[in-house]
Amino acid sequence: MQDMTLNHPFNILLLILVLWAPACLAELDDSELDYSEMDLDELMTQDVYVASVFTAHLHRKNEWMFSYDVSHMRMEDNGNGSDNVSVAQMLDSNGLNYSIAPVKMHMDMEMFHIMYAQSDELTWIVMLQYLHSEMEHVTNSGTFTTEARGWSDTHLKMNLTFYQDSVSHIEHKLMATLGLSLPTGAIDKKDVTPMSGTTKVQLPYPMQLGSGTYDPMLGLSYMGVGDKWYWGAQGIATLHPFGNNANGYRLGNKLAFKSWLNHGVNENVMLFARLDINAQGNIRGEDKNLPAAMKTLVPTADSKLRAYKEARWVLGADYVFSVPLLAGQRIFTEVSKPFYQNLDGPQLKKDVTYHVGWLWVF
Amino acid sequence: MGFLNSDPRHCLARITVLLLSWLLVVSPVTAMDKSHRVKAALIYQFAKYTHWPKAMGDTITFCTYGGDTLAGALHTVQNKRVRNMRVDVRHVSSLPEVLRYCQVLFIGAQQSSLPTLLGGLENSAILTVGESKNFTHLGGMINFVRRGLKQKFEINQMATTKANLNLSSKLLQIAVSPRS
Repeated sequence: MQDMTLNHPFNILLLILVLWAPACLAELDDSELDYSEMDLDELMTQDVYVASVFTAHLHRKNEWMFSYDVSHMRMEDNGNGSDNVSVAQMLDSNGLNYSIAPVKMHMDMEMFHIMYAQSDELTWIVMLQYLHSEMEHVTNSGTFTTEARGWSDTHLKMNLTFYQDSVSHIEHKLMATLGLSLPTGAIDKKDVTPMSGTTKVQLPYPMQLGSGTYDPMLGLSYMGVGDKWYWGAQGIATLHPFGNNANGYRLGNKLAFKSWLNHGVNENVMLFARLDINAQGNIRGEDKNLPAAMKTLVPTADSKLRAYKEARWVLGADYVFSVPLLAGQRIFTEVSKPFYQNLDGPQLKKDVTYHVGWLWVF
Repeated sequence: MGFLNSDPRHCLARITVLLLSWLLVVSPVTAMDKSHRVKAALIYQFAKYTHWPKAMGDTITFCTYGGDTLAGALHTVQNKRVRNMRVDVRHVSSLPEVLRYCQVLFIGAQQSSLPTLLGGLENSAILTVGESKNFTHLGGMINFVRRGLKQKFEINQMATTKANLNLSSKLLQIAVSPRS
């Protein structure tokens, strides 16, 4: 019966589709602009095509966008700096002398984006995330897995285009992103471990679903749009300036930089390559629900071993449906893998991430 | 994946339900793409900025040819006025029909009969509008092209002159140069 409740994001997606979308469409049908009332000069200034770039969302006035996508991220083996750290090194009493070594983690994320363009320059964005994480551990006496699932933090953002120009039919746009991450993700996820018996205990930092704090997001994007090529770059900082969460800590500030090149193969297919660079600082403070000695047992419980820097390549494709029945809809997929990592470790190294999604602009 | 890793039967059931719901929601929708609506409005403007050699009475007919997707959008200009003429929109499927009814003809992309059709219309006072890569090279008059996020158009002035159609200087100024 779990599938019939609203506990799973899939069911919410269905609810939105069945109840909300037709109402919106009916409303929009009445409010569609009559372009035949515009003169020639006005028509020539219209942004007719949507730039197919998910990173920097450009939408036209009164446009809605709804997307649902799932991603699967894998983490495997441990690293410190840019070096590998073996399980033997982690558990050896002459080595790092931990009792538990995390060896693998899977994180599945389901994301919903709802966007509304109040004008050609201003787009409002709501992003909901549902996470399911599993971490596998090795001890000197065996293995065990911990699991956490639930809603993560909710992001409210606005993208504001503050500069645009057209030179030789190439559009250049600069956008600012302002946002706030709301602490809707749990920071008290618990599970059983071999040491806790049947009692569920507080899970370490990487298994918690949210930050527990209100976190501002600030970003800047540049986007160039040619006939068949789009390119751009974006930097977004997620900051944690408003003190510690209820458990006595706050996540490290995060910087995410992306630069991309997209090529429209034809009216329907777009291929893209992207470079992502991410960096996050260590946690400040300590989770009061984690026993102080725990960080000597397992590195994931150590707030000073969470910082990382990584660079990863991303390759993807985007298919835009052109049949009237599926107007405004597209599907997309991307795969990414890090080629550089520098970790305040030992901590698990990030590996390949897969991403598929469906997007509807109306 | 949480969503994909669960029991395959549940996963399949979920996807099926999702697709059915999606079709249920989407099927009544005849949402017109903005590019279609803007193209239709531009065709209306082209007619306003064009003078035909002979008087055409009180109706000007905009035709769409073949199985193009612009027909729905073009109906938004039905009954509007071009100078003192009422716009009529009609779908045609043969050259004789074009010659009989049309003053403006939109030919959608991927029409295999494009060379034959344009060849048959040479020197006819019918304003031809297309959206194919080689439209103007084949004798078409105005071709829609994409420039960045904007909808632009090229004009084949030789073809319009041959057909004794007089395009205003404003239209010629706004048109973009064809790319080689």
